[in-house]
Amino acid sequence: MINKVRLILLIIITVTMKGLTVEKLYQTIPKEIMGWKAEEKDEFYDRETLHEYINGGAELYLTYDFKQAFARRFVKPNAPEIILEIYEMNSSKDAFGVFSSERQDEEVGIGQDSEYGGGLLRFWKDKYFVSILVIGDEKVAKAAILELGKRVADVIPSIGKKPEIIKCLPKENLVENRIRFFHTHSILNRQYFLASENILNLNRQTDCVIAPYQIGKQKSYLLLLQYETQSKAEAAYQSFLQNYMPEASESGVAKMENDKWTMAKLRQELLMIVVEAPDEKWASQLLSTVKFELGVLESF
Amino acid sequence: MKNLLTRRDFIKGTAYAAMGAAIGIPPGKTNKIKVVLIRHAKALDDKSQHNAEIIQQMLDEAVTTLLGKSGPVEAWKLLIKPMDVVGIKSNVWRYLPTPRELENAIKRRILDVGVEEDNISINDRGVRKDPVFQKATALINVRPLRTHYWSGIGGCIKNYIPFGEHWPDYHPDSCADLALLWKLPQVRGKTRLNILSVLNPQFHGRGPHHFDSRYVWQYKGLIVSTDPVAADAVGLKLIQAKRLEHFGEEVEFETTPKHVQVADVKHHLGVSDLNRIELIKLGWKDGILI
Repeated sequence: MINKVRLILLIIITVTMKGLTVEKLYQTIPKEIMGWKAEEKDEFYDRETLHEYINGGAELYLTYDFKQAFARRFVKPNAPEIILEIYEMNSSKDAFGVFSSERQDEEVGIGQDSEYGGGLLRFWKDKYFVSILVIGDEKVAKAAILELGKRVADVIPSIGKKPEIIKCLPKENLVENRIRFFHTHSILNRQYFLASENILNLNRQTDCVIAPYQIGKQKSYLLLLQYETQSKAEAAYQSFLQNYMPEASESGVAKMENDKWTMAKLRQELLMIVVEAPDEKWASQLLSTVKFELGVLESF
Repeated sequence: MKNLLTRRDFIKGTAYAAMGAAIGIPPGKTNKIKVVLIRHAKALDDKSQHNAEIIQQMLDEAVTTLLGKSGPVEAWKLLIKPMDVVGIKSNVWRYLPTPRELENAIKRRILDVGVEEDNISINDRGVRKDPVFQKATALINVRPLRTHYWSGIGGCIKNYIPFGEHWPDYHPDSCADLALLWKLPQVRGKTRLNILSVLNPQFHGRGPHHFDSRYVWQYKGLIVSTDPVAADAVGLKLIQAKRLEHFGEEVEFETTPKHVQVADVKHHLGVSDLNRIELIKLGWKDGILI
């Protein structure tokens, strides 16, 4: 009984903290950073209005569980403008998903994962994805961008969990900073164009990851798709075979026209696909090393 | 699945035929569409400042070559009549806008034709409410070439999105049907010339605004055609070539820029098949890539 009360109190405290955090976050972000001063008015956008701010760029955030965005512009005489944007998602896994979607540069140690390049700092922490961009000469503003990033990361009080499905990726030969987490067909096609139609039956409830595996110059991709039920995974597997490689039949393996191999395998609600494998053995070995841990999958 | 196109179709090189067959287009059309690519080594200086005089020369040479006339005003008279009301559809994207020098070069030649200044407007996001654009009889379409978050590339076809009432309507399926914009009453049949600025195009982008200064390069060129699809197809080829040169391998676009091909085979707006395009290259050849 006492434990139950403790649990309820913990939940109430956590929810209250989270509620306060959102408000506090925008109020506690610095309005001045190394001589750059915030413009008077901050901007806020939600799922309905994000298009007005970043037009087609909004579609990426909307395929994840985007909630609201905050933008603050910093100006300084004779210096380029700095734009801070904070995108709040409904879950930390989707904040990671947005971050992962175009990760390419070196880690700079801000938030839970980060990168800086070309005047753009990107990082995520808890359920927030943060972008800080300079419009103009990045060398002039780099120190301020990084400092602002650290200050923003500091006011986000908690850390979030990465998507559980990432734990299923074998570590050996994995290109870690190219792991992409997503949900939908449109984002899959951004990472690896497979087909014009949604032949894998993806939707916002499917948790998916695609990651490259490289040995020397040889590279292939492992695609893991977590469906809500085993029957949905089975339907997606059959759809993939029928529409993408009908010659594979139930073997789930076929040689493509570029002499690379594609192999698919179903395991309960997890559909696993290797594409661009240099040979059948490579594909088979990669699939056999997927960390299929029931505990992991059951925790979804 | 009807109309299904897979990666394997692209590997086999049958995507174009597959798409055409899916919507009933017979293969083998042979009419070639002219596209002019002109470059000049001094179109931009080391600080990326545009040289207005050289840009005017480039535009003039491109238009005269495209239309087979000896002088620019004579050529422009084939495009624009003195009584026309002309909207110059530009692009104000803050990170890489249409250069003012290029806008001015276009406007100068329209004035030279005899169009009254009050009957010329340069606009982008306000075109639906711009009185000149509302009564325009002719449009000139000009914008920089860049990769784009949700349509693969931003080129001539996409530049007309401000004519749409609700932009997200054109976003589904990676903006596949952007060519529908060209069927809107304010647009249909009015475009006389398409100018794709490749003075400093962007070949890769990142972040919410899809801008990264590392991937903007000084190509110092203009792509000019009466066909927006053909201009974009050449632009797409250029970006592909630059990505290959820079990354050392074929790196996939953030979004497959299929709207260019769809504009051709589905909407019949123009020609996307490079085999049906006559690319005329003028000027500076260093690093031409295509």
